[in-house]
Amino acid sequence: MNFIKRAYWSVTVRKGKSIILLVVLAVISVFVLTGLTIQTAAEESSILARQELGGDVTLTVDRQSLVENGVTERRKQAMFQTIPIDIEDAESLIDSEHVEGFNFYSATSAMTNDFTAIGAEEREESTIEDGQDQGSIMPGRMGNGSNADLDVQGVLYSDAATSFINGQSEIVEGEHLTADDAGKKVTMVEGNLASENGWSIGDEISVTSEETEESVTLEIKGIYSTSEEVPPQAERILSMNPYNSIYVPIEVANQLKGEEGIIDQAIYYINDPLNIDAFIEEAKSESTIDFDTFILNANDQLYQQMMGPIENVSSFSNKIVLLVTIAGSIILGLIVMMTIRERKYEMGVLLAIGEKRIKLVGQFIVEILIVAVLAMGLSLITGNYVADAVGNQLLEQELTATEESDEPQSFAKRRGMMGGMEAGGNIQNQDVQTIEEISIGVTAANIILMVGIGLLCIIVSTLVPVLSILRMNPKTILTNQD
Amino acid sequence: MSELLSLQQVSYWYKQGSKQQFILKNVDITFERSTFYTIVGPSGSGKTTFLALISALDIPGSGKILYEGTDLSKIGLTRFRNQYVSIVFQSYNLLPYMTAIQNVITGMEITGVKHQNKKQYAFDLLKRVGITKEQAHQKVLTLSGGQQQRVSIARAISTPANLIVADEPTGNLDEETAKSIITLLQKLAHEEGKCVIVVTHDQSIASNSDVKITLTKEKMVKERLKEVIVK
Repeated sequence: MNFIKRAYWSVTVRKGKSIILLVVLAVISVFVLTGLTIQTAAEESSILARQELGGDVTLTVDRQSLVENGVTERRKQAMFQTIPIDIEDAESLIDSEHVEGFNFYSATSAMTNDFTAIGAEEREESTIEDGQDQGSIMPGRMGNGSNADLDVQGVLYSDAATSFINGQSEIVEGEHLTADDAGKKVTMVEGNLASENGWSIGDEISVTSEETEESVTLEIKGIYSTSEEVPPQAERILSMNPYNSIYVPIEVANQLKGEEGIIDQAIYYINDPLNIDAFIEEAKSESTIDFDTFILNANDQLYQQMMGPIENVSSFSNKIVLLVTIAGSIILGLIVMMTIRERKYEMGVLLAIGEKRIKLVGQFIVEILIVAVLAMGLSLITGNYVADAVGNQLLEQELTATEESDEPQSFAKRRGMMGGMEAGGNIQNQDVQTIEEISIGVTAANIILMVGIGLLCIIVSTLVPVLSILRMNPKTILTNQD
Repeated sequence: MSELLSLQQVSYWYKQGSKQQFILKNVDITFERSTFYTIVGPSGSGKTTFLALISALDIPGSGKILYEGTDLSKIGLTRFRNQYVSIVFQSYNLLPYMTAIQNVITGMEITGVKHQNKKQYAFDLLKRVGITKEQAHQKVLTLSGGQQQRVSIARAISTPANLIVADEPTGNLDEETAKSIITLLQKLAHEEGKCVIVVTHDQSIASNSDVKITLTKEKMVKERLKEVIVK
């Protein structure tokens, strides 16, 4: 063990050189630890975001493909009509291990029977003021081809509808519709419509199908309120007024449509956005769905948008680790090489008095290790602060860059108009929040990895110059020195 | 007296273009225990090369060097230097970042000297060569040339090696110290049974040795001056 003692003597005597080495090693350690810590934090944030957000896949009609590739009849159907999805086909995908939840949608419209839709009286008054023939327009009816008073949303779970997911709507009384309500004649109505007509939970309302003119009586199971904007068109088309939107089970919507066993859209909530592709592949290979007509649209936009900046930070920190490791090894190697060349004579002396070559290598490695332990200790103290500051600074820069590269402001207006008009419970229109801060902390795994990288750098950068000298015989070394 | 080291047909040369420039040619010589040898000869006669070969710092171009009948290459050069030979270098070859005592202890540790109190033993050896306790704690570079030479000798005699090889060990010493060092080396030969080989330019030291070897270009003359009485 005498080589360890010699290493200690050498480090303590050569204070200047040891300090230079300490500074270099500390800088390398801090950078490596910072990079590793940011990477870990980014990975953890990514996992958290994934767990929190999930992702969804929508089964819907592939209109674009039908319009472009379909035969004439199919093309016309795709352009002007709804092509329903067989509910059995949609159900065939829910057993996948990747599916965490699902919802089916079947939208239609209906007319009021024994109550007044919001805006019906105003429209009637304005029609009278305009001098139109009262007889040609029934209360609540439109002259533009659509007579619907109510927008009817057939759902399996009402709480997963877009308006509820994005927080524009919330239940204020009663209960949401669930899969247990399948086949039941129940509904969930908006609070303004309920108060206008003096309804409460348990009351019954009657609506009439536009298609079959069949009347259906529905029991009110829930009352919700919405903050959705009332579009200007709602003045003439009552069903476009969000207050006139009612939620019913899929079967009720189908009954009003005069159909059975169909839906317009199915949404599958995937347990991890990373499994979206696997789910789609599985669906394509195992289900009987006609993928010439229908398409599974992946929606991990929210996840991607959230993760974009953080992934860039992670990628950058990865590069930092790689660069610092390579550059650090080179710098360290040069310093060690210079030091060892200066100490060629010492090696010759030690070899001449019988020291083994392996112990000489050991001495140099131990010398650097002594300094490295101090350097790594310093990096542990400072690494957390540096990683936190650098990580969040990088993230901030990425966020700024992302904001700058967003769509032009003028596009926002279009987005605003389109938002809320989508029928399904697609979460794509949800307000997207990017991760603006990551929780950065040095972990044991980071430290172990840093020590591993450090040891590798030290061993490589010591072995190369030492071995080049040790292959000489002591007489040559001493003679050259003389 | 038993034979310790023998050189058989040992040659050493440098290559100068296609020619071989011989430093030693077909040397046959034997060294015995308990004998104090001196090697003399003009500069360039191959004295230092000869010492390098018998202390396993270099290998011969041809021929064999046997230690107690075993070829050095079989013993292993590093092991031979570690266990069987102690070297006093002309340029001291001390470790500059260490104190005098640390140099001696390092020599002992490398060669695996087992001593209950190594530090005290090292102090005793340094005292024996004329180094005070205060000087023993000084960094070697702060000592004079003569003092460094003495530390180098103390390091060499701290190991149990039977062969001690010294290149001009008194070159930097005053007459009195030189005399005491030579007396010490003679004692190691005669009282502890070691084989001591000293390269010197000093004819008085050579004439006081048991065997004087004169090295001239490609020729070696061995001359027994004294009959060795082992104490």
